[in-house]
Parts: sequence; structure tokens; C-alpha cells
Amino acid sequence: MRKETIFFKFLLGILITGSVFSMTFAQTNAATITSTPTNQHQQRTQERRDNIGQYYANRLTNHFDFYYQRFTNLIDKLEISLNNSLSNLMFNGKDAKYVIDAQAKLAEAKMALGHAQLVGYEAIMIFEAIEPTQYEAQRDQALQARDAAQQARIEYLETLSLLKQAVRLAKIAH
Amino acid sequence: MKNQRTIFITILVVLVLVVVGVLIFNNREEETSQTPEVLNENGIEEITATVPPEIIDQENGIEEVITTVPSEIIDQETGEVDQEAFEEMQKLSDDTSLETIEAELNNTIILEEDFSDL
Repeated sequence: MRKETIFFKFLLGILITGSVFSMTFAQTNAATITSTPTNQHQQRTQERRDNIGQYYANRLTNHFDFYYQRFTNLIDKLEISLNNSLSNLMFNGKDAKYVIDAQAKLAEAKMALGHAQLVGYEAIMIFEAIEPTQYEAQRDQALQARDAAQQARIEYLETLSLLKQAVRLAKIAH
Repeated sequence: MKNQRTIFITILVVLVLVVVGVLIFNNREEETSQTPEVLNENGIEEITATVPPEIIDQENGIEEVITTVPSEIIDQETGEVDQEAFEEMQKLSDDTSLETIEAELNNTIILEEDFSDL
């Protein structure tokens, strides 16, 4: 066999081995990617989709019930604080205007909280009514529930805003 | 002469295959190196630290206070907010002073609801 032919065969062998190696490595790398966080997230998303109505109903119940309870406690605390301030100011014959304004804001906050709770319940009830097997047919309901949940969230934010305003007014009186 | 030409063409084809293989490998590697920066191991956006609340939005006429949820209250298995840890973090004191109530209001977190699965 000629030296030239041997050399070419050797070169060819190296090149083929190299190409096979690089292709295999690329494939292995691709296989690793299938178990990346993004894919795990997609798996969980699929699991949620299997019972999506109940999933959101549970999650919103946890969140909204907690907000409601927490705001109720804050309102109670603020009410006590404002009543004490009012008593002190009146006892000392001072102007209680800002405390009275703060109480009015507090009343608004209570109303906003009640409304937030109602809208939140509405969202939860719609989600609970979604049949897992008929999700596609009930997608409009799911979107309606989503809108209600987002509205409830805005109402909770409004409650927070009103409570902050009440505190600001009460602090002016001090 | 004919033999050499065949070998030359074979080498050329193999070279092209090698280049393609290397390109695919680099492309995949780029994708993986980008992913962890954005997503944590649960595939959700990495939330790293608590930042002071900032009023950044006045939509709907309501002060939208955006407070980042600390990563400690993210459930590592589900990638969602750990309700128990969240409630513990948001616990109220018995103090009825205005300063305490104000601080607790400023510390209030209304979580963003993610409906991207719908």
C-alpha cells in the first residue's frame, strides 16, 4: 500500500471519529436540556392544567382569606388607636377634626374590604365550578374568574391605600 | 488521481459535518448558560432579596406598592409562595400605636396572581 493512501485513510479516520464525537456530544447536551428547570416548570404547568379550576380556587382562597383576616385585624387595631386619640383630644379640649377624618377613611376601608372579599369569593366560586374534563369548553368562565380575582386584588390594594390615608390623618392630629 | 479526488470529497463532507456538530453544540451551550440566570431550579423567576417598598404605580388611583417577596418564602418543591412562611412573615403585633400600625401597613404584601396557565 502506498504511503499516501495510508496517510489519507488515517486522516479520514480521525475526521470521522471527530465528527461522530461532536454530534454525539451535541445530542447528549440536548438530552441534558430536557431536564432543565424550564421543562420541570412545564411539567408542573401540565399537572395544574389537569385540575386548573381547583388549583386556582385553592390558591386564591389561601391568599384572599389571609388578606381579609389581616386587614380586619389592622382595622380593629386602628379603630382602638383612633378611639383613644379621640378621647384624649376631647378630654383636653383640642380639635379632633383629623381624627374624625381618619375614622371616616377607616369606614371607607371597611367597605372596600367587604367588597374585596365578595369579589374574591366570586372568583373562587367560578374557579371551583370548572370541570377538569371540560376545561377547554369552560375557558371563558376561567377568564371571567381570573378577571374577578384581579379585581379583588385591586380592591385589597384599595383597602390598604385607604388604611394608610387614615393613619396619615391620625398622625397629623398628634 | 481519481482515488485522491474521492478522498478529497469525503474529507470535505466530513469537515462540513464536524462544523455543523460544533455549531449545534455551541448553540445548545449558549441556551443553557442563559437559562439559570433568569430561572431558579423550580423554573420560576428568581427572587433574591427584599427591597424597600416603593410606590411605583398610580394605576386605578390606588397606590401600588411593589414589594419583592423574599426567596425564603418560596417553596423549593413547588416553586410557589409558601403560604405558612408568608403568613409568618406578615404576622401582626398586638401593639396599637400608630407607628406600629403604619409600619405593618407599609410591610403589607398583596401578592401578584399569576394566571399564565389559563
